[in-house]
Parts: sequence; structure tokens; C-alpha cells
Amino acid sequence: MQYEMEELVPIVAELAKGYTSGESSSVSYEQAEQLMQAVQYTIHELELESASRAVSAPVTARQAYDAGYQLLCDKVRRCQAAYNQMIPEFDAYGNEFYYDTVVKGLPKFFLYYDVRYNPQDHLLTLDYVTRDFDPQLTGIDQIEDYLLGTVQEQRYLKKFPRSQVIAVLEQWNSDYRELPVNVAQLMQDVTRQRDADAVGGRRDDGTE
Amino acid sequence: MPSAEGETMEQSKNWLEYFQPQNQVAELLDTNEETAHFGLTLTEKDAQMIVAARQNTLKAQRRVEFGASATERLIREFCDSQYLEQDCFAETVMRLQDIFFTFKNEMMDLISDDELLHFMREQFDTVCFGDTDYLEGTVLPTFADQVRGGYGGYKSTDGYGEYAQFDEVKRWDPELYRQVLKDLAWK
Repeated sequence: MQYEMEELVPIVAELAKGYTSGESSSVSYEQAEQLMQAVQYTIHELELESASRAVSAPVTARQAYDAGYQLLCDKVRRCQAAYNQMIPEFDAYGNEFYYDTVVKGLPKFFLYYDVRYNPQDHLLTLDYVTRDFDPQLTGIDQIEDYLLGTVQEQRYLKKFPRSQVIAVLEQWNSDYRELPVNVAQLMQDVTRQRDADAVGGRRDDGTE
Repeated sequence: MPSAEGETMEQSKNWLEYFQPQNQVAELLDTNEETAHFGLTLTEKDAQMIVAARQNTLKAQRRVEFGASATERLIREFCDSQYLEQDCFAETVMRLQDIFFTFKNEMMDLISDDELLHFMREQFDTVCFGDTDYLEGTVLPTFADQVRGGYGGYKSTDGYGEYAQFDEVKRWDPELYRQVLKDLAWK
């Protein structure tokens, strides 16, 4: 969906008025650009939805923005629900980055995420990187992808006894608790290596 | 940020120009209805100069207006000031307009348009005695420092009566005057 500036600018102007609570008739260039990005991000949300449903009904920029905004709100609600469902059983296995990002960081996202005036900003630095982390994603799309990755990784890790996971991590590096290492990836690498060694008949002492 | 494929950042920067409101000259001339009561009016040429000056100021200050311009409100705010005269009305409006947008930036948009206009008008008439240089060079920077430092008292006063507490210059003291007069008269 490509829209002309004449269609987008009135939406940005309306956002600017709301952003300033009607108390200012002007904003800085930087603020105006942020609001334009907000409009484009919101409309893009509708484009993603339309692409997934192979639907391309012609709509005005205003209609696209309003529909995109509803989709964003719905996505935030779904992510919040998914997080609330995951967090009681979440285990960081002692890794500080994992704990800080998921347990401390993500609630702050839901508290401060600005779906109207700055939806493109996902606020968090996401120091703990999931296996399929996509740095190109932004805003709620990044958080949704991150949550999905975290849920999948937790599901994978729960297949092993907790003590086994800890043992693997400590054997890899006794300081794993303070390193930005992906726990699931490490577990997967070690498991694959052991499986490969078992198939190849190699014993732990390196002999065959 | 480009909105179309292949559009460069330089081309997309021009999207800010779409914010230029229509009928700017006509809206400025509409203010003559009120200002004429105080002997002040703008000609069409004056209005065109003010509009052009506003565009230059907004560009210099990297700001964009998205609704009714603050200039019309500025004119209405100042029009009954004893320090405004017809022969320099347009020039003073341009000067005040420039000061307004400069200090919206200096105060980091923490202050509303009305609060700043009220503050400017009050100080223009009292402490500044109509001197825009003093308003811009001394009074507003002093106040802007306080606003940037976290001061928010102007929100409850709407910008009125805010400067005295930050003024570093000892000014006219009515109590002192009465005391000296009493001392002289009763000696």
C-alpha cells in the first residue's frame, strides 16, 4: 500500500495535536519524523495482515491507519497474554542476562510501550538474544517474535532435567551465569555433538 | 524516512513542507479586527513579510507547525500592549515570533504555547519596558534555565507572575519607596 504524502500528513498532524494535548501548535522536526514513522509503522501492520490473508482491499490512508492501530492493540494484548502464560514456569537456569531480559525487562515494555505515538520503538535492548533473533524487526513485532522464540526455547529446555541443563552450562563455562550466552542454543549444540559422537563411536577419551 | 521504494532521504525530507498551512496571509489579516481597536493594523504586505519570516524562523529552529499558527495568538496576546506602535508593528511581531519559536526549543517543548505567550507578554510590559532584546537576551534565558532544570510552577499560573522569583536584578521596591518617602517627609 503506497500512500501519497498528502494523505499521510493530516494523520501526522492529528497525532501531533494529540501528542501535545492541543497545547502546542508546532513540534520539532525530530518529533514530526517520529510521528510520521508511527503512522507508517501502523499502516505497515495492516499490510502484513493483508499479505498473510492474501487480501488487498483498497482503503484510504486514514482507514489503513485506523485498522492498523487496532491490529497493533490486538497484538500487544496477545503478547501480554502469552507472556503472562509463560512467566510462571519460566526458568533462566541462573543466567543473569536471560533473567534480566525476560523477567525484568519485558514487563517494562508492556508498561511503557507507546502504541499510538511511538509504536516502532520496542524500548528494550534485548541483551539476551534468542536463537532466531531478527534485528530488523522493530516495535511490537520484535517483541512478539522474541516472545515466540523464548516460549519455544523454554519448551525445548523443559525436555531435559534442570540439573542436566545446569551441568552442561557449567561444563561449557563455569561463568555462564554472567555471560550473554543463549542457553537453548548451547544445550542444542552440546546435545548434537554428543549424538554425533555416539553415532561415530567415539568415546569421551577421544578413542574409538 | 522514505515512503516509496527508491525514494531517497533527501527527497523524503521534503515531506515536512506539506505541513505549510493554507491561507496564512488571510488569517493574519483577520487579526486586524481586534488589533484595530488599539490603533494597530497589518497591511497585506506586512502579513506576507510575517509569513515569510515565520517560515524562515521555523526552518532555522527546525520546527513544523501542524495547526493554526501561534502567530495569530501572539498578535492577539500583545496587541493591547502600550509598547506596540503602528509604525513598527509588523517588525515587532516578526521579532516576537522569532523569540517565541526559539524559546519553545530552548524550553524543550515543556511549556505550552499559551504559557509562553503569557509569560512573554507580561515580562515585555513590565521588566522589559517593551525591549525585545532584553526579553530575548536576559529574561527568557533566565526562565528557560529554570524550566529545563525541572521547574513547573508555570503550569498552575499559566505563565503569569513567574519571573520575579528568578530575577537577579534588584528592581523597584514599593515598600522601600514608601519608607524613604516617609523618612524624608517626616524629617
